[in-house]
Order: sequence, then structure tokens, then C-alpha cells
Amino acid sequence: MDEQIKNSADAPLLEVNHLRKTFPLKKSITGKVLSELVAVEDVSFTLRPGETLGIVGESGCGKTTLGRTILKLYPANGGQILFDGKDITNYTKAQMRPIRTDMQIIFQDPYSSLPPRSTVGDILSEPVLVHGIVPKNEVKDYVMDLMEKCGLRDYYYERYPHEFSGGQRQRICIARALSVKPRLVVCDEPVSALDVSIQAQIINLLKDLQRSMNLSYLFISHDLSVVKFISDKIGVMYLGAMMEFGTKKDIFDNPLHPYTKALFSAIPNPNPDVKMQRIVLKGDIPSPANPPSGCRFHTRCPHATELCKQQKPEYRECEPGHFAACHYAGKV
Amino acid sequence: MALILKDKNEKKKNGHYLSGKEIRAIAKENRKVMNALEKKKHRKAAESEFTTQMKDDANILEIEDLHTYFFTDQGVVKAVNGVSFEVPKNATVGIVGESGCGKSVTSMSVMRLLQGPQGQIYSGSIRFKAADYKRDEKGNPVVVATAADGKQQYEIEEKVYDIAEMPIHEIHRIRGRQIAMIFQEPMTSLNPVFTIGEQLDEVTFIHTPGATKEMAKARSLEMLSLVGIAAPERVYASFPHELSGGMRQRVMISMALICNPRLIIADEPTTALDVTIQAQILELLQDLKKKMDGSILLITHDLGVIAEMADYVVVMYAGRVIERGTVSEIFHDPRHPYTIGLQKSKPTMDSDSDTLFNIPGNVPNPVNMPKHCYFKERCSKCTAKCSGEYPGMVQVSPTHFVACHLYDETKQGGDR
Repeated sequence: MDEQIKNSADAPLLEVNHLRKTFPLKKSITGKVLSELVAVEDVSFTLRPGETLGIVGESGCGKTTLGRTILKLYPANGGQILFDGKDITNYTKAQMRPIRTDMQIIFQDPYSSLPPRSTVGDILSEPVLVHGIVPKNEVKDYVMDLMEKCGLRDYYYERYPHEFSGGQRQRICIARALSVKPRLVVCDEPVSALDVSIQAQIINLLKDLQRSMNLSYLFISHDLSVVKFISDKIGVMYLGAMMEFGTKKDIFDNPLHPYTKALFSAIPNPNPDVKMQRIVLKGDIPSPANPPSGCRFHTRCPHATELCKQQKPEYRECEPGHFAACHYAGKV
Repeated sequence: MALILKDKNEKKKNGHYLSGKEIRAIAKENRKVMNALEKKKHRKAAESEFTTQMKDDANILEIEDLHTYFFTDQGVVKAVNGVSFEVPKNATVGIVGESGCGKSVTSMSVMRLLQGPQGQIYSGSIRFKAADYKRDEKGNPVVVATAADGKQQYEIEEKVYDIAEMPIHEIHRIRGRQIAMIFQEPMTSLNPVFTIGEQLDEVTFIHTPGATKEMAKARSLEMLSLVGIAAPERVYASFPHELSGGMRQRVMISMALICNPRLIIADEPTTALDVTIQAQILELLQDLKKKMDGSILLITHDLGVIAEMADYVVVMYAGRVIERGTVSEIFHDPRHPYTIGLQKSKPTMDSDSDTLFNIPGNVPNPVNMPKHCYFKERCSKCTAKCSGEYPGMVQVSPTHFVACHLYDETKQGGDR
């Protein structure tokens, strides 16, 4: 019995293998896809219970699509999603329903993700009632308890979302996601719409809740300093593909991919005396509908060679647990 | 029903609830003030009424005790409530603060772009040193020489305008020509139905009397290549939607530079851009500052951007300046609890701590601000004095000022 528990704690909660998601751009009259946009290509990783995986990348790199495909809000076009050992890639909506309580999402914009005509109490009770988390007569107590955990006062129960500031609304969104006792929460840029002082409150709240409820987070953000603060493992994405993946220490102390290095050096340092040697990338991000040949990054890479233009680099394990997709990983 | 009634009474006690009668009374009162201010805005005035003198000749812009209010039916929102700071020549001044602290409204007041009749400069002065045409009694520019092709040259002299006192139809002497602005969202500030070239040329046509098409185009192309656009001819002929976010922001910057402005106001120039593109734009701005002879007023909420770009920093909170000083004073020796908290609450790339410092609570409601310090409810270093009057500016070093009761005793460069 004890061994079984130990095994289940060690086993990955979420395993993603070679996930691929495309969106059709043009269709013929017969419905055949003529051209498509590859939003996520060949992404693989594992996430253990209680861990946080940070996904960073610039806009349009497919990080949000990745999060939504894992939750099966979009159907995947290839690859495998294993949740808790079960292959959920081809599950139907009905089959997904019991699993929905285990995986939840927090959206970026707290202003547009709350229904304006429902009170906070209604918003938080609805998922509890739908999924039958607690008996009906205990729902109110359960919700009150949840609100307290998320730092919401009890008299907010009767109020409407428009009466709250951005930070408070994001707390409501977090409470709503946690109301069904999930094990995996996809946080899709939860703090980027908030001010710095409010950001810190929300990040601390997410960390506290993770500790007390043993949650796993898939934390999607474009802000490297926030990702560094909250994550155990980090994946760096560029134009739909994973460029580098590893533990926080690997990625920050020993970045292997030139894109990761450039991304780190682009962050302005809040210390006026430190004048950083910047690696400023030239040009813009290419369109994902028409990605460059070979390595996706070669058009902006300061170290690109002929090989990079022609051959696509393999996503390989350069050090134990540290993956990178570059011909010259660690050598430049 | 009982619950709703109770709720309403609660709201009334908190001052959040206004009856229709109260709203009408407020609106009536507001209309009186707004009409008077609108009248002043549209009055005819001689030049002597809005020219003045700078306090310090080394400054290009001096803002003194500026009050910008928005008159709403819920009450008067004091978006800018007694802001004073100056921008020295050839310096970059950064304004930092959270959303709703009045940093953008300050810049809009300088440009006189406030949405009337609700938004009004209520009092205060904005002194700006301009290089404008010398004018005769009738207000026409004084001609020095007339070239063979009929082109006239005008005498230029230094004048100090009080922008807050200027009638709105005189503002074109300054807006766009002497002070240019770079907006946050490049897509919404470019017109989608005109080409980049047409929009750039327009600036020259408006501000240079007697400009020809060829002159305007040459100037536009020159500016486009100055901001690092590789194919200026191609960009000149394209529409805004054909360009990426970074390119559009470059176009916005080139548009601001066309008239050789003395002051550029950059209102969150990189907030809508990705980090790698942000790095490009910041590098460009720094490079341009060296090339051009002018000052930059940079508005942002990102402390990292401020640390990298600015020489002087102004920290704003709820419509007031709470601290200002040189960049090293603000970052190495912050005095106000809010400045300290703001810096500690940002996760940095070097720190390895487990929990972030956070400032509890929210920014107070902009209607009905309290009498005492606005930061009192969120402050960890509150004393009995904080319930009293709003703290005045205390000077801690020749360039460093802070508005906090903690430093009342230690006037004139004392230690903490």
C-alpha cells in the first residue's frame, strides 16, 4: 500500500509526447486543407505532481495554444497527451467530463473572463454544483472557505465582478479554478494584465496554494523573471517549437540555445549601474504560417551557418534532463 | 430583499452609493466649473498673456503644482493632484507608477490632448522653453529675408510658454513641432487608410511653411533610415497593417523626430512589444538621444526600462509625486515606502528568494481621496503623524525629494 502511494507520487501527472497542433488557413471546396499554420510542433515534456513548469516565449510562439491543446480545448493533430497515465488524446467530450475536475485553467484577462451578470457566490458555486464536489447543503460553506483561502472577504459573496479591481478579479478566477479540487492548473499569463505590486500578491497566492493543495502548474508567461520565480522546470518556445527545456538551474545558469541567451539578455535590469552586454536580435519574428527552412531561428540567430539554413536541428538531450534544439548547443 | 436593502445601506455608509439627486447636484456643479474652464481654453489672448520666465535656465520643461481634473457625475477625479518636476536640457526623465497613478494624464496635459470638456487643467503651470518665430504686434511672424523663389525666412527666438495658460488654438506652435509624442499602441495611433509616407509627409506640410512634396518626402525617408529601417522606400509606400509591431513603433518614432523636437514624450513606448523587440527599440532611443539635441520624457511602469534609460526618475502614486531624484538615488537609496516596496515586489533575474515582498491592498478610489497620505492604508511604516495632513516634499539631497512623514525631521541631506 505504502509503495503504491510512493509510486503514484513519483509518476508524472502529465506527459506530452510529440504534440502537434495545426490550424487550417485555406480549404478547398471539398474541405481538404490546402495550407495550414503549425502552431505547436513536436513538443514533449513531463510534469510531476506538485511541480511547476514554466513556458516562456514571445507573442505568437504557440504557448497559449499548447496550454489549451493539453486541456483538450482544441483537438490535437498528432502526438499524445497522457494525464495521470491515461491517454486522453482521443477522448470524447463525455469521456473528458470526469477528468475536467482534475485540470483547470486561469486566463490572462480577469476583466473578460468573469460573467458580468453573476455574483461572486454564483460564479464559485456553479462548478461545485455541476461536478457534485460537496453535498448541496454544504456548498455555501465550502465556497466561503475557498474564498478565505484565496484572500477574498466573505461579504464579497453577494457582489458582482465589476465592483472589483484587477487583482481581486484574478483572485476570483483562481478561486473558480480551484473550486473543483484540480490537480493540474494551466495558468495562461495570469499576472501580465496586473500592476507590479498586485502581481507580487497573486504570485505569492499561487505559491501558497500550490504548497497547501499539492497542485501542478503549467505556467505560461512572456515575463522571464516571473517564470524564474515560480517554476521548477522551464521550457522556451519559439515559433511553435520547443527550443530548450530543463530545470530552472539548467536554463538560467547554463543556457544552451542562442535564443534563450538572447531572451535573457533582452530583459532590462532594474539596476542603473549594471550595463549589460546585450545580444540584440535583428529583425522580427517570422510569420508562423510560413516558417523559415531548417532551424526556425536561423534568420535571427547571431551564430547561424549554412547547416542551420538547410537542416532542422534535432531536439536532443544535451545534458541529463536538459534538452535543446540547436546544432551547436552549448558550443556557441 | 432584506439582504439587498442592507447592502445598499452599507454602500451608502462607505460612500460608494449615490442617489440620482446627488448625481444631478454634482453634475450641475461640474458644469459650472467646466464651462468656465472651456471658456478660458477658447479665449483670444495676446502672446504676452501666456509667455513667462523659466525658474532655472538649464531646464527645458518645468511643471509646477499641476492639477488636472476629470469632472464625472460620480465626483471630481483628481487624476493629477499637485505634480511638480522639471526636465533639464538633454536629459531623460522617467515617470514611473502603476496604472491610474496619473502618469499618462500628466503627459496629456503637457500636450493639451485632454478630452474636453470633462478633462481640464484646473490649475498650475507648465513652462516650456520653445524656439518659435518672433512675432509682430498682430501676431504674424517677422520676416528676415525673402529668397528669389518667394520663400520667406523668419526670425527665430527663444520664448518660454506657459502651456497651461495657452488658448487651445495657439497650441500648434508647440504640439508636434517643439514637443512630439510617441504613443503606447502603434497600431491604433497610425491611420490604417493612409500609407506611411502620406502620414509622415503630412507632419512636414503642417509645420514647415512652404514645404514642397519633394522636400517632405526627402525628410520622411531621411527619418525612416535614421530609425534603422533597412528599406525606407518600401516602408514609405506601405500601409500600417503591412508592418510588424516593432516596425510600426519605429515609424512612430520617426514621425516624432521629423520636426527636430526639443522634447519627446514617450508614453509606454515598449509596453505592447515583445522583449527582444523592446530591446531593439530601447537601443534605438538611446542611440537617437545621442544624435539629437533634445530631452526625453519617458513614461513607463517597468522599473527595468527606467533604470536603463533615465537620468532622473519621478515616482508617482495616486496622482501625486511621492519621490523624485537621480536614477542612482532612486534605485540605490529609495526613501518612500512605496518606492522601496515597488522595487522589492518585482522578481528579478538575480534573486533566489522564496516569497516575494508584496504591498497589501489596492490603489485608493480616485474620487473622494482622503486628507491624509494616500499610501497610509498600504504602508508598513505608518506612524501617528500619517493620519494628519498630506506630507509635504522633503529634500534629502540637492536632487532627491520625498513626500513622506518619516523624513520630516531629517531635512537638508540628513541620514535616515
